[in-house]
Amino acid sequence: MSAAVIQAKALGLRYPGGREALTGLDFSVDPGEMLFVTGRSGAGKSTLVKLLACLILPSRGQLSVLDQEPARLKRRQRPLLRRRIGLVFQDHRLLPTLSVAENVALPLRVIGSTEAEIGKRVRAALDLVGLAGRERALPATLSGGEQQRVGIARAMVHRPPLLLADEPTGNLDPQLALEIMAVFARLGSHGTTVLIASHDLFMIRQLQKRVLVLDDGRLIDDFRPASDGDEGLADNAAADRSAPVHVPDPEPSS
Amino acid sequence: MSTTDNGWTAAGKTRRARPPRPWQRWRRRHRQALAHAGRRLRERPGAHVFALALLTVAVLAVFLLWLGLHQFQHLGRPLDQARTLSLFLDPQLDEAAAAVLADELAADPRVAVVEAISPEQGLAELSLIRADQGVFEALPDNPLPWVLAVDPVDRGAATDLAEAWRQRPQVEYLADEGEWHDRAAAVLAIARAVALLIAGLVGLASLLLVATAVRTIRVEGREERALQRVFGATEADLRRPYLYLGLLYGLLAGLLAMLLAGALLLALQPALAGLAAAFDLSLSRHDLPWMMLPAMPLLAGLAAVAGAWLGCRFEPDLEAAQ
Repeated sequence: MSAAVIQAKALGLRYPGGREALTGLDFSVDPGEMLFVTGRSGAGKSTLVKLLACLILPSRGQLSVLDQEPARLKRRQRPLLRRRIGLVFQDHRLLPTLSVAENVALPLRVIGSTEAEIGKRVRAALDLVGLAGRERALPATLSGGEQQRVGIARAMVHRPPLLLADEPTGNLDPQLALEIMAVFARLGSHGTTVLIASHDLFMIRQLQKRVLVLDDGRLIDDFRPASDGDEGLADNAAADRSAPVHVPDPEPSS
Repeated sequence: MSTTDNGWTAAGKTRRARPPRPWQRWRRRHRQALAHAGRRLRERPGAHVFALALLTVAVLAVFLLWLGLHQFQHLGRPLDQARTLSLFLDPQLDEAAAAVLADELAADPRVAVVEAISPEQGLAELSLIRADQGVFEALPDNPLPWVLAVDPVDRGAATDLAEAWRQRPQVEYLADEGEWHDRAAAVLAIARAVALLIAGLVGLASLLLVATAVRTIRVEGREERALQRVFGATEADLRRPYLYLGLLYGLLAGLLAMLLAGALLLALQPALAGLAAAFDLSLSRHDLPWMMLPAMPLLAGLAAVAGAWLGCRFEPDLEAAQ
C-alpha cells in the first residue's frame, strides 16, 4: 500500500439525485504535508472533505485514507478509521451546554481514554491553540476566533495523523483567520497532515502552500509553490499569540 | 514518518504511555457509560420520576398477576387430584348388601378406595352441616340410604366407572364430584390464560414505556451523538449509556416494586390463608412466593434494557444522515 496519507484515483461522487459532485479526482497527499483545497461555492470542497473524513463514500474510483480504503471497510470498521482523523467545522459545532474542556475531551471519550489522560491532553491541546486557562468557560462566552480554536483543539486532541478543516476561517476577520492558520501551520510542523478547504484566496496566498483547485467537481489545478512560505507566520506571529499579525491588503481575487 | 500518531504535546514530544489492554478499554467504556447514565438520573431526577413510578406500577402489576396465577395453581391442585364418586344405593338395600357391593367395586383395579357410609353416619354428617337440627329429629325414621364413596385411581377411570355404575339396579343415584371440579378447572384455566395475557400486555407496555422514555431523553443528545459519530464512535458506543440508563430504570423500579410487593404479601397473607382453608388447603407464610421477590429487580432490569435498546433504534447513522 502507498505511504501517502491520502491517495485518490479517478475519485468520483454522484449524489442520489444524480448530480455529479466530484469527478475523476487524482491526487495524493504525503505525511506531514499542509495543503489547501479551494474553488468557488459548489465546486465540491466540502464534499471532498466529507469523503476524506469517511462521512460519505465515493461512488467511483479509489480513495485511500491513512492506508485504508473506506469503501472496502465494513460499516462497523469505518468509525475506527474516523478516530484517526480530526475534523474542524466552519461553524465550530461546539456543544453549548458543555465547557470548553468537555467539548475538547469528546474525541478522547470516544476512544475510551482515562480521566487522567483526558485532563492532560485537553490542557496540552488548549495550550497549543492559546486557550490555556479557559477550560471551564462555556462556548457562548468565547469570541468567534476562540470558538474556532476550541474546535481545532477538539479536532487534534487525540493526536490524529490527519486533520481536515472545512472553511475554518469562513466567519472570521483576517487577523483571526491568520491566527487560526498559524495554529494549523504549527500542527503541520509537528508532523500532522493538514488539509484545509477554503475559498479565501488571500489567506491561501499568504501561506504559500500546495493548493488543489476544484471547479464543478473537477480538479483543475494542483499548484505547488517553489518553497513553503508560512514558516515566518508560524514561527513568529502565531507562535507568539499575543503579538499582532501584520495583514497586508488583500490582492484582487482572480 | 509514521502515519499513526504525531506525538505532540504542549511541551514537545514525550514518552508514550503503554496502551491499555482491550479488556481494560472495554471495562472503562462500560464504567463510563454507567457513570453517564447515573449522572443523567442524578442531575435531573424530576425528569425521570414519573417514568420510574409508572414502571414500578407496571412491574408490581405483572407480579400481582403472576401471584394470582401462582395461587390459582396452588388452589387448583386438589381439583386436579380429588374426584370422589358417591353412589346412593337403593333404600331397600341393607348393610350386608351394601357390603357385598362395596367389596365388588373395590375389586376393580380402577378403584383406589371404597368407603361405606351408613344412613346413621350420613344423618350425623348432615346434622353437623345444618343449623336447624330439629328438622332431622322430627323425622319418624332415617330416610337416608347407604352410600358408597369411591375414589378412582385417576380422573379418566372416574368417568368410565361413573358411566357403568349408573346402569346398576342397586344404585339409585350417582353423584360425580368431578363434574363441578371440571367446570371449576375450566374456569380457572380461562382465568389463568387471561391473567397471563394481561401480564404479557403490562410487561410489553412497561418495555415500551422505557423505550419512549429513552427516546425522549435521546432527543436532547442528538447533536452530541452526531459529533461523536464524526469522531469515530460506533453505534454500540452511542447506545451503551442509554442501555445502562434502561438497566438503572429497571433495577430501581424493580426494587421499589419488590418492597411494595413484600408489604402486600404480608398484608394479604391472612386473606389468602382463609381462601386456601375454604378449599381444604393450608397456606402458610412459606407457601407464598417470597423467592420471586429478589428476581423482580433483575427481571425488570433485563426487560428495561430491552426497552432501552428499542428506544435507541431507528436513528439514522452518520453515513445515512449526510
